Amino acid sequence: MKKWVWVRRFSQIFFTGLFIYALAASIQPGHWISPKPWFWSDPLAMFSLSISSRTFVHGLGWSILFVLASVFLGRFFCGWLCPMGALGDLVGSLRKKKRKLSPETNRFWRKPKYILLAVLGLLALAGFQEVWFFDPIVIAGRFISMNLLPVFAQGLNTTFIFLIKHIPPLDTPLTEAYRCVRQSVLGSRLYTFSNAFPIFLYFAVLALAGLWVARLWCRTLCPLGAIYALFSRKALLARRVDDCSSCRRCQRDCRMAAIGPDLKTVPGECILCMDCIYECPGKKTYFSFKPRVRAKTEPVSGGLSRKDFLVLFLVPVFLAGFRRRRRSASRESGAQEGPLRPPGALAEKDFLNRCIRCGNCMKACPTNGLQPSVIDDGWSALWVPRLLPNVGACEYNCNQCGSVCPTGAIRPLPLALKQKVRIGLAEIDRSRCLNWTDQDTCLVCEEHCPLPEKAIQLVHVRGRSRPVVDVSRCIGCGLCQNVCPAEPVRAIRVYPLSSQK
Amino acid sequence: MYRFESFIKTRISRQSFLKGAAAGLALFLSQNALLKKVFAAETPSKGRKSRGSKGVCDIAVSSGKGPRENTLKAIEGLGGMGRFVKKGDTVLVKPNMAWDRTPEQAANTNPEVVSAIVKLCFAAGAKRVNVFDVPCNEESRVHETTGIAAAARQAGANVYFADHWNVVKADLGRPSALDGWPILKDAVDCDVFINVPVLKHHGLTGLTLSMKNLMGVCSGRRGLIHLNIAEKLADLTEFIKPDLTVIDATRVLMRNGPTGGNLEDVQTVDKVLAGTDPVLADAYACTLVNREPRSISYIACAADRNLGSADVARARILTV
Repeated sequence: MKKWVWVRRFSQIFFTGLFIYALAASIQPGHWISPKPWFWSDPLAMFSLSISSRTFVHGLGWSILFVLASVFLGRFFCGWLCPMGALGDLVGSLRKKKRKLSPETNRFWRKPKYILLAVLGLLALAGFQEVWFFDPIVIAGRFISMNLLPVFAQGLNTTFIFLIKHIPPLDTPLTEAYRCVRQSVLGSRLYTFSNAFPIFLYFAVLALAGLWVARLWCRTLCPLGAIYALFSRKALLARRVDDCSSCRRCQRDCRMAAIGPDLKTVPGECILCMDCIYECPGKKTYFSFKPRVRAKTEPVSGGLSRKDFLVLFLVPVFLAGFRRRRRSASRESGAQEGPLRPPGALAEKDFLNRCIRCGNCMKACPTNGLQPSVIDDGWSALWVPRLLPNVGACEYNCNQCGSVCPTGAIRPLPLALKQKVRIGLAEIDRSRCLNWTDQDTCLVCEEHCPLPEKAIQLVHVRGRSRPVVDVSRCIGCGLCQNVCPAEPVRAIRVYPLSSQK
Repeated sequence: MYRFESFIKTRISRQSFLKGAAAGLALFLSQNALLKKVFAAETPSKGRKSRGSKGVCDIAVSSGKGPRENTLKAIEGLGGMGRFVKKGDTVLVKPNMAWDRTPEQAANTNPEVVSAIVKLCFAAGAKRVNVFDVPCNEESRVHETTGIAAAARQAGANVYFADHWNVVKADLGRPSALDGWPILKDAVDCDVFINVPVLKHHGLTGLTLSMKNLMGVCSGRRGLIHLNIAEKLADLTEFIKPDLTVIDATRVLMRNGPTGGNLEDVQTVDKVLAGTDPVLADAYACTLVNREPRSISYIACAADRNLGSADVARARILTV
């Protein structure tokens, strides 16, 4: 019985499952579990956000707790809690015979994560938050919200409908079961996200790298792992061996290549997976806060050489020069649709900086109207949420996006306030509107306007009622655009406010 | 256990590669065909078959007793639910459950009216009572805020999200504005259709009534129904042929309809009326808020096509 390995596996499965559940449940207001703590416990995101925006982001204290814990417990987060790490272990286990790398290669591959961390740190100092692309919690959360859950729901839905239509004798019980599932698991809306494939591809490349070398992402690139590695170099809870017989079995099988050629633990690399306890033939390996037998301590050689430090410093300085906030292509080209941001979003520049693109808001939006930006809006806006009224409008009685945002990029507004926040303004295109062009009296926009004092009013012109927008009332929720029957371009469209750009 | 490694290291001969590719392609194509078959199957339908049961009078109105009692009295005045619902029937109760608004805001049917009707159906021997609507706001929020889902479930009804995959194509057998429109199958297949709208203001048509409430059994892009709306609603009434129409005028939204939201726009009328002729029921409801029935385009259109009568003066009205 590999007791501790099983305890560790249970912890990984439990916390990853809970994370998925929290993300899935985030659509319902006032649910007992929120996905936010996973992001708050992430020092990489929290520090980068705090430093780049020069504020104390809510959640910073929580993440400091995790850093402090790693001083005592080592990289327990990577081995026991991280969803990306759990996936890395799962993928790694598909490969039976582990690839052996030379000690030099292993050593070389430990470095990029520190360099990446330094780059991200310097960028944060310069005022740019770029961790959204590299943070493992964000990558995992984004994949779950934008790919895993929607695809699962679509698949389940399709399967049920197929069975109902093709197995007539089971029609009634299956329909009952389907309605049960629809009410509980699937919800009223099945999500689809534009731009979901690049998000999946990016995640898949990182995940499948584990097939080549186990936990390749964690050892080589993960900047969050780098933070924990830095703080856990002298961790109290550590792997200890009494009376080693130098069989090198632990070194051969270590998934993090954390056991050096001298059979000592490489500082900051051990993730406490507990495998080596059970591989040690004489059961001489154990994890504890204090060694059983007082061993002579030698200064461990590790860390960075002077040359490494120079590279580490110069690379980010060089890269920072590339970082320039470019005006988005769609705005430059004078395209009609500028991005509409969710209600309560910070001013555009701050919003882009504060958003970590975790996808929580888009998964929580009940109409599926919040969609990830594509590359057209520029790198600085990639995968940032924007409201597409043609897909779904902003529900009048809903403030879920703000309540699930872990970073405060979308402020958690109380409902009464959110109902007054203006995200854009509707504008009627009189050359397309069925009423204004005398094709028919439709007035669907006026009908749907959710404001108690309707922002779309009717005027009687030339013997017919025609809609006009009352700009003093309109909050830009986009429901009018969503339901407008004009094809292919809607006759009423919502534009972002010029002050927000 | 699945051995990934041995899989990637196996050499694949040309023949086996071609075989695998052919099998994969066949699987893909067959799956594609199946999915098409599942989602594209829309059978045309000539409309719902109604039993055409009549009440003892044309309209029964009850006032001043609160939504639940009013509903019970009005249906009793019409001759009781037993005239419409037979033992073992599947009943569809179609409330106006379209907007994310509370009962006090009067944009949806009063939940007590719906639950009273559901209970009457079961008392009359119904096997199943279905309740759904295709809402204009997000569906699960609408179900919760309106209070209808909870009330109807408590009364024993099945409340569910509209099945947009399970539709029939409207085909009235003559050229009509409604041709080819997807209609939810559950609204066509039921034995008894009870339409339970709420009386309220509506910008385009003037008032939302029972015929307008039938829009909630349509799938597809419903904004397009508003084009030539009078004709389409008359077609829809002919297609569905509701057996019983119960109009909730407990609280009436007088302005800023059909969404409302402002309690000052709500006026308490405290009436419920029941009738078998949807056009007459609508026409009578107009008089409650001092509107001339023929000024509502779809009532005039339906009356002209003899789908029902808009002549309130000649109707047999029972006031309870």
